[in-house]
Amino acid sequence: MKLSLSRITFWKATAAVFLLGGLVTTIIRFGWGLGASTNLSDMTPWGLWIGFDVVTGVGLAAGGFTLAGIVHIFHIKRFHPIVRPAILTAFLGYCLVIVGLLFDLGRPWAIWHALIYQNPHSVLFEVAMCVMTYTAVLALEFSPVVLERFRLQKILKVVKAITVPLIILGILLSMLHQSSLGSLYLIVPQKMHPYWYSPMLPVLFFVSAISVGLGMTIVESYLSARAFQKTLETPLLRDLARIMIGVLLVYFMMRGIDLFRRDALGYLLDGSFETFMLYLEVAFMLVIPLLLFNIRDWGRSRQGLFFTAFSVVLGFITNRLNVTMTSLEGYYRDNFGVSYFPGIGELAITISIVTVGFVIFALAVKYLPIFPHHEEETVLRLDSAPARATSASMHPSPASELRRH
Amino acid sequence: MPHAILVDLTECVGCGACRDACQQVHHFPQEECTQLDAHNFTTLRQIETAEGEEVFARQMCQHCQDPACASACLVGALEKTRDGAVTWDTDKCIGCRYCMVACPFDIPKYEWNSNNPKVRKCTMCYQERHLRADATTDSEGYVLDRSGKRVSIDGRLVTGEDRDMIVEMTTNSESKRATACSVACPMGATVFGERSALLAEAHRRLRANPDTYVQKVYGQKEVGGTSVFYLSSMPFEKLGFSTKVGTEGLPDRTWRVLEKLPDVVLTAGVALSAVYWITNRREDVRKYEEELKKQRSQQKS
Amino acid sequence: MVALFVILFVVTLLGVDLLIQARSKQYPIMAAAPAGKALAPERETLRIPKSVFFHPGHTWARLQDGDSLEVGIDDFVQKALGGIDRVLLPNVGDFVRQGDAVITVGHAGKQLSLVAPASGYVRAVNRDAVENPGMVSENPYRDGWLMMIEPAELARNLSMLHVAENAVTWIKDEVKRFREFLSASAAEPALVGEAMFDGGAPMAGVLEQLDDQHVHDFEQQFLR
Repeated sequence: MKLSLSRITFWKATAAVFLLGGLVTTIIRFGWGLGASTNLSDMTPWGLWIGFDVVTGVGLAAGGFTLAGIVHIFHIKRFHPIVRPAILTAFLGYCLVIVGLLFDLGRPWAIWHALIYQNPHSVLFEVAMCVMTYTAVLALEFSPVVLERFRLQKILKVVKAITVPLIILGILLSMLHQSSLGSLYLIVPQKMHPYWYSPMLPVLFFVSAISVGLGMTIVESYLSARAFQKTLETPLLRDLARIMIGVLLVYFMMRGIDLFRRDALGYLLDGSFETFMLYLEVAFMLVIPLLLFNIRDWGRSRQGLFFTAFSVVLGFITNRLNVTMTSLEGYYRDNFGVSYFPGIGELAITISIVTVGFVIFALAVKYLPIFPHHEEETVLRLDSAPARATSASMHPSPASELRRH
Repeated sequence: MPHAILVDLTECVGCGACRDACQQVHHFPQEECTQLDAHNFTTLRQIETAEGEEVFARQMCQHCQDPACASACLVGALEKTRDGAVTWDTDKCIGCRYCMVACPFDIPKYEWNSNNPKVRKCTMCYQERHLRADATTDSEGYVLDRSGKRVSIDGRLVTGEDRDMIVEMTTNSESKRATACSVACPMGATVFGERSALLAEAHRRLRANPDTYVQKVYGQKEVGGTSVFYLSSMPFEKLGFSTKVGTEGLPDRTWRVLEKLPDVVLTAGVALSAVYWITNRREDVRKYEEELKKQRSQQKS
Repeated sequence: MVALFVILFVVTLLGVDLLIQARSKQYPIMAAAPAGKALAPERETLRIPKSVFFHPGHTWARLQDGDSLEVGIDDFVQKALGGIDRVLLPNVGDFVRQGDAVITVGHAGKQLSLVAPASGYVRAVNRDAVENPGMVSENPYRDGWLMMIEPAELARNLSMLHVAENAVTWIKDEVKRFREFLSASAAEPALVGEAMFDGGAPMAGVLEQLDDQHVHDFEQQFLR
């Protein structure tokens, strides 16, 4: 017991340091403005907060609609136990994206303007509307968990009655804004490196979001297994990983054809930083997962699946940051002679947001019926101490799930 | 009637009167500047040619015909007016800065050190040009509009004194309202006028002095056409002008995707519902058959 | 640069975590660590799920929704063996009878045969567990299930099995009996762990250190 404690303590201390940094930056950000708290400038108006907290963050939360679709629309019921953790991550993820956005917006108090001053020609308007609506949809999709916990049967019944339309709506909204995050960059063709500017950006963003949504679900499941012994069965995770790999293969096929058709493959041997970053993306998102998944013992063990999925997540982060940052670096350098690197405050906020995500996820898993039915068991100690009964779970049954019955 | 600005760089002597007038009419600090920022809507850069000649390159908002910034802005705070100017509405902006990212000329700038920051860029003196010389003032000296509300420009209330200064600075020798920079230019290098007339004038100059000019009106075709035209004796890329922006309106690129979305939603919505219906039905059939099987085996036993 | 930095940062965090994990395994800070083999803490406990029915031969059965029985081996056998690296199961469609030795598991060359906890037709076997027997030792009550049985005489079978408090009492007795068995049968007490004599006894992997005759005795005395 003491062993795992020391590790948890280490991460708790680390989290505390990050959060303290975040707190200080928050004060500077809202007290003195963006200039004081970030390295953003007139030449580089978007930085880490948009690139990671928003564009990457929304992608990482894509597991919600992916799994809800697989289970409730395609009726692959095997994956049912995964829906809840996935929807939780999605809901949490979107809430955190909005928090990140509030930091980045120059006038965060005016965020509601998107509702009344509508510009249908703006991609960002579409993203804003979809993210707003989808967060509400996710709240509803997640609500049965809370309602069950507090035994509010009547409201639960109402929510369950609208589950299927809700999930279809959620998938449509996700399709729209996951792809539109890519469309955001369609307006700057002359600024971006040809590796990442493509008229296909919306489609590529959507497909890669599906794969990383699955990847994140596997990662979370592993982490919560480590922390709480609450988890999903390994074969189930393996099936999930198999779908993920399938989607990735489709994604990279599209990516390759796209690069070829735009004659961007000619740069592949130029030894530039951009080329290196592209290789990194392909390595993390395709090569390493393929290898790990197919190594016999690895691809079947919980840990092996974790590393496979984690690599995909890393590759996904690389891709989103490549689109939002790397692809523009050349333009900034050639035209203004500047380069952007996030300030310590920007890093502190981003890390804090991620940390808060971890903490809330941990609390939710601990106190709400997120992972399926974890039966009570007695743990008998074999050393000198007498047998001690511990309850490994707090909820008696899987009860009803987010599904009409 | 859409307006435009024609800048003939061959006439420019680099005196900086345009810049000074711009700073003055917008109440910005008077300072030398080499880069656009929140308090400098126009700059002059000095470039030495290979022959040792000095050329000045003026930079300001291009006031695109189909502006990327306006299409990017989710609240529609940026707007291409019928007047030709691309303006920005303080009250709508939420500070996302997508306009800054989207602009092919990197024109919009930001008040980074403010707690209530504004996006700033040249507005072709839109509000200044529309400030009426005979506008009345109230007892405290603030100018009122026709409905009796106090007039403000970019969040700053206009006093009677301001009005007189602004009107003077934006009225040219022909007693027509024009941008402060064009009024101030002693050489006539910057001219404000009707867009089609200025474009015709630009081409007339190219034809009249083919040896003086590079045969190009910068701004005529760039990103589908703009409302600020440049003539030059040197190739524009050497003057630091963005020449890779293409001749297609950039908003088309996003609109091509956005306009398809209703169809995509409809198709996907129907497809998802159909899949749900089929798989659900299959599930029901399976359950029913199981039930039948069970009943039969019970009957047997 | 930003992308590269973020990736390096995340990889570093993961690396640190793995390092801490590895270190804590290497140098356990346990209160009273046995002098010999260092044991991971979870190997010193036995899990007894509440909803699982235990056969006195250390196999378990769990009622699934619908009418099937999930079957596996218990934590006790798995720990005594010190892990599982070999699993042999009956074929799908076979009829197994409660008490018949139909499951074979092995570890480090030692092999044990275990009985079916209930009678019925085998409807499915866990192929993943056969191919990757480590799953059984990792979690013998969930991922490590071995087969699904369509029970033939459920009520009668269940009366033979231990559940809930009964199971806990029974397992406690089994642990005691196992210790007696070890002290009686071990030729060299040192082999089975000196800690045993002063109250606590590690049992993980003890069978590995016994000769085949004693393993056979164990099978006869505990797994039937």
